[in-house]
Amino acid sequence: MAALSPDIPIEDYEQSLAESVHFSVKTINTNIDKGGIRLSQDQALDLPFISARTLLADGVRIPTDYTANAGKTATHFKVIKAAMTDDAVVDAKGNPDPELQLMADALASSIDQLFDVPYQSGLEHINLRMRQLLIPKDGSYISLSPITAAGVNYWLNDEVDAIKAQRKNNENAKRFRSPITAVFGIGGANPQNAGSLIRAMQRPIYLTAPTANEEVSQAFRLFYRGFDYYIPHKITIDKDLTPALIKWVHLIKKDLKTTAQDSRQPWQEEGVFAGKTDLSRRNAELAFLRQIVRNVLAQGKKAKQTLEQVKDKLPQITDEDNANLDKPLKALTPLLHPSVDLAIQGLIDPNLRDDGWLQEFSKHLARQIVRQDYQIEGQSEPVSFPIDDSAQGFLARRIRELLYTYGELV
Amino acid sequence: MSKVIVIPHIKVQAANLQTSGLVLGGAPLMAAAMFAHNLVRQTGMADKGIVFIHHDRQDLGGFAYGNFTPAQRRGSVFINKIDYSSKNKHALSLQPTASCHLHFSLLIKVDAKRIFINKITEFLRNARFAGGKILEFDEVKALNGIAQGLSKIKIGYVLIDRQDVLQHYAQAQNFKRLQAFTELLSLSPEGLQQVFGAQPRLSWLSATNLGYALLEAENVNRTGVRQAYDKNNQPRDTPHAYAEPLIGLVQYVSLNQLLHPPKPDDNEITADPNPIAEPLRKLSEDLTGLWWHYQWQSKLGGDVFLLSQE
Repeated sequence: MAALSPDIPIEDYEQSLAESVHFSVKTINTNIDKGGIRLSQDQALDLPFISARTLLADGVRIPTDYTANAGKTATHFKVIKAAMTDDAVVDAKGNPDPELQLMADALASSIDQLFDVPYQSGLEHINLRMRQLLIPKDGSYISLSPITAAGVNYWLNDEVDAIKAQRKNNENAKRFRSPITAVFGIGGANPQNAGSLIRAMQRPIYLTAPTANEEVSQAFRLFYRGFDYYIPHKITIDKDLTPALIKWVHLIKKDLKTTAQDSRQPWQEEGVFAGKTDLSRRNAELAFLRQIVRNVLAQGKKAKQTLEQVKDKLPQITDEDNANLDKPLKALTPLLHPSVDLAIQGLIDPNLRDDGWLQEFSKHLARQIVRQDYQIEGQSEPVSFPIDDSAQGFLARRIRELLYTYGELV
Repeated sequence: MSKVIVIPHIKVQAANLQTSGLVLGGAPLMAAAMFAHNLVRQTGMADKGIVFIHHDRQDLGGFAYGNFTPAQRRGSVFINKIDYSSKNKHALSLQPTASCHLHFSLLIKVDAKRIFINKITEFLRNARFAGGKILEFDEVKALNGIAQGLSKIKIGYVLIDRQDVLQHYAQAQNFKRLQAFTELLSLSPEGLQQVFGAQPRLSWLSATNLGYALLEAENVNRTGVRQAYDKNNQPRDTPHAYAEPLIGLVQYVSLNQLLHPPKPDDNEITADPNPIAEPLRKLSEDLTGLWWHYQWQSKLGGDVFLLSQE
């Protein structure tokens, strides 16, 4: 072996090696006072996880690092790291450096002995910046400070690079997706002050998680709960009809109340909810109701479209008790859960619009109409009116008529 | 009596996204397990297991050239003058963090004489989860079994232990565990089929922290140790140890898939089901296999703390 240069005493290298660690507290917060732990080989743990101790069980040599940068430490570690990872020692240009290579080879036996016993330094006191978790143990608690070995990151980066290289090779191009790494700025502009392996810790892998696809979750919400349709506040009708509409409102307010309070005839019980009317009021009423009904039916149609998009993902609730075993089970209501309000079911799925639905829906809609007030669009002065609660039955019947007559709506 | 506490749709603001020095973005299962432990402790119960149901996660950061760049949301914690920047003495220096908004539901199996829903709700209102603030949650319920609990939540992704996949792949390819791990997390759907055969049902393979391995013997002589408090709020001597997170393979499985597994029609000729999907089939038949428990491993020298689903 050629003589080693007297400028680089091997004792200094061996000193740095002896004080090197797998885990450095500065990787948690660079303002923590230096300190760290080095594992011994017999701390290997053969479990199906990724960590320093489990990698030892695979015979991996995990490179160690200095706890803080001082004087010649970084220079020493250039050689030490190369020796530990079986890389060649190169200078800044990437050319092999024979003198330092000799040094690396000379350290080989010290490195072999390095992992015979565990080692730690600077850990007598725990800095406030070090995180501590209280973990239950034996009826009480132990405080654990989680920490990762930069050397494991080093090998992880190796694997990530290998996969990226495989993707460039056409044969295996489709086998892998590109692993995503994150940019995690430990050490800031001078990571070497925290450790020579800190740069490896600056590229952890990044794992995605399923995100809530709004359309899908909206569809499921519709499936299980139906939806609350809205009724527009602003009504746009022909200007000419507006005075008639106002009269109509007064009419139902006054007349319906009278009818309701009429003790001689049980009008309401008989389902008669009429007051006097005339042609213009009738037209205004039709315009008003038609606009609302069209709007609500359109909302139902939109809901149906949302459900159609995820039809194959929806659970199918079948009538298993009455199953005819020769025929495949059919879903009772393919787009909706059977527990959804009947009025809403038919609103969304036209196939479910039978006479029973007509009654339910008309009642439902009438109830919603009387709950809010309205403004007529297009007037120089806004005209607003509420519709009295007693108009519910009357409106329900009118809506039923509307739906019957205008076949295309149903 | 054994009951299942269901906390649906917990929304957390700015939770920690960093799982360990190796991984950003693992599911916060350990956080959930210890959170549940604290919750039941504060409300007079004993925790016997959790199920974590993921709904959504919004990672705070961007992308640059295919790399995730977490937003640097705050400066370093101010302890004393060394936390200030060396370049600008009026500014705190930076210690990198990664955060996300979380949306998940939690099932907690408990043993309790009585369950105080209002105490649980009160605890949740002020609690933090994985370093983030709990913004809202749906009504807490105490139900009788896991099936009832899951049918309350209906949609979402449950987390399942997939150590079996890592072991299978490492053996089959004769890889060491790190290579097997990294490759498994990168396999495309075609790649998964190449390796495991048709219909492996392995979408959404992921990884997270499933335990801690101590790096040294428990130390009772250190100063500056965080003390645990007993039930009378008295501090008690607490041992300390440095530990490393154990990153394991897990899978997000849609609840819908588990509760309503795909049934072959009798007329169809079905191929033999893929053996790697066996754990999913087993879980559909027995949902109690979803519970995650924690324990200290005694056979490995007593210095490993593990979450497992057995």
